[in-house]
Amino acid sequence: MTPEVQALPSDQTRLSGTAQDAIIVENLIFSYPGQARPAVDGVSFSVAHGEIFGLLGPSGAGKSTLQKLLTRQQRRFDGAVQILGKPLAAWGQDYFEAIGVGFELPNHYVKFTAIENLRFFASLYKRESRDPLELLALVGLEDAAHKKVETFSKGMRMRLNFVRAIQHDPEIVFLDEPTAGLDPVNARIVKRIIAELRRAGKTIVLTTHNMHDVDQLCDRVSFVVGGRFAVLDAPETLKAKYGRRTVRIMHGHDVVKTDEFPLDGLADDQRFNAILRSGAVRTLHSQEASLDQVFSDVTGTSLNLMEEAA
Amino acid sequence: MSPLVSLAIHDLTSIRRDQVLLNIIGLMVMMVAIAALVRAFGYFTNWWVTIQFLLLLGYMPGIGYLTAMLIVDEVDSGVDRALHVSPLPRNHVLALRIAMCILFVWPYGIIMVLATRMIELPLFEWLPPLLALSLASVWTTVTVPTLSRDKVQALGLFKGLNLYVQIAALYLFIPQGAWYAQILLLSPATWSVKSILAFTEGATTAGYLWSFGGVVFWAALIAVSVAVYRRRQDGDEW
Ligand SMILES: Nc1ncnc2c1ncn2[C@@H]1O[C@H](COP(=O)(O)OP(=O)(O)OP(=O)(O)O)[C@@H](O)[C@H]1O
Ligand SMILES: [Mg+2]
Repeated sequence: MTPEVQALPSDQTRLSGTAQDAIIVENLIFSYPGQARPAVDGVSFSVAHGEIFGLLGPSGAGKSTLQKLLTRQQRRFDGAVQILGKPLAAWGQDYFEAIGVGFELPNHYVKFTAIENLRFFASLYKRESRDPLELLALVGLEDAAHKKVETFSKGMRMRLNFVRAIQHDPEIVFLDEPTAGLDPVNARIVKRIIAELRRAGKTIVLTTHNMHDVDQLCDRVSFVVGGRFAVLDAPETLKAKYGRRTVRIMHGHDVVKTDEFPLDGLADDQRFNAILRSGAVRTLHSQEASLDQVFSDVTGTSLNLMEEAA
Repeated sequence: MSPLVSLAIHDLTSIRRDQVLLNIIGLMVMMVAIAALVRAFGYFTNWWVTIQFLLLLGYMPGIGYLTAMLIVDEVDSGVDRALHVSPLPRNHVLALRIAMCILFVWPYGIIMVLATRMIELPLFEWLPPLLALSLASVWTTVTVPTLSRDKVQALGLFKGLNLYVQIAALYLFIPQGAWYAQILLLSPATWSVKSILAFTEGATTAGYLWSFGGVVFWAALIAVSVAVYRRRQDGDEW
């Protein structure tokens, strides 16, 4: 390991890199030219091999910018980044053999068919690519394989973006909102493929606005706000730590009242039992600890609002 | 197949599928055909030299816009970003497009002067000034995508940059030896005009020197554009 890595400080979120880490980022800072506030403002984290790491945050938080830095689309930054055991700046063009990039917005040669697009990009790699027809079939594009991309809907283009990112079988896949613009069925398919990639040992950095994606896929998630990480942990840990599991009860014969009780030790709660026995219960809902709520508690930003903004 | 060959084939297919670019090629071919006919029938003998220069300055660089439009299209659709995260180095991509541009323009110019023969020079004397002039297209190919973000801006810019090349034609219309004729030397296209005129007058050395100067001049302009292009692409070294 290089001295640079050993110098990394560690904290409760496992900042310091280990040999198992595919990505180690230390105090990454980046500002767009002419912008006073950094878009990425002192971010530190590491991603283990075979981990799905989520970036969750409101619009403009700096998630895509962070992805741009890690995928070398922006090469000038402050801080240290080490990928697959090598400082980012020490990598040559072979870096792009090792990573796959799924863009936030569809970008294709629209006068070419889906399969021509995949074949062209596959031809730029030394390593063997997966069969393009098979990949298109995976995301339900087999019938569109020989149609020009200019005739595709946004969802179709996004699915093509996704398979292009993974077709050369990279070790690390960066996906920027891969389920954005997809219907629930296709979103589920894409998520299933991402889970399969992890099972195959791939490391995945996933940007999303979607709580459920994070819940279902991510081993760890960071909440990004204003270019910084507000928290970073496993979704379950975050829910256990910050989440409130409660029961909300509406009751009353004439005047309706609402009360909330902790779910734990509910059976022994005198007041709750009294309300139940009064026979005036109108509705009774358990409030699960949700990432949604954790997010707004921790960052002061509502995720529902966030999804609308996206 | 090597990635660069793959990109070259891809680029040629892009051109073949683009109606606008095909129209440009059609126009180019037609210009040469019409000029060749005019020459063959012996019309407008007094105007031949002027016509030849107008064709060289006004139309020859146009064929190079094919490559400029390829780059603009890529930026327009964002697919250039996908290309930038592939193992193909960016400077290879740019070098290929510059090479393709010269390969379109230079032979086109040679075919044009050989087909029209409105100015009669041996082939080896045509080569240097036409090479210099084809660098005008390389300059546009790099400068247009550097300064424009979409096709509309690109088309406007083409017209502007074209003027810088076409203005050299004025040299034919102003009195020989007038002091203000020297101002036109601010466009390296004028250097090709001077070179061709020198060759026609039998001043071979002057002809080669003017061409050489033109090549150096264009190369300097291209170097500036390449530097700005690279900086604009990601604010960065490659
Ligand atoms: N090319 C650019 N030039 C200047 N500023 C930019 C550029 N791209 C992004 N920014 C700014 O950087 C900040 C972070 O943007 P970024 O795209 O990383 O956000 P994001 O978290 O991906 O948002 P979203 O969820 O909407 O995709 C924003 O304030 C944005 O305005
Ligand atoms: Mg984004």
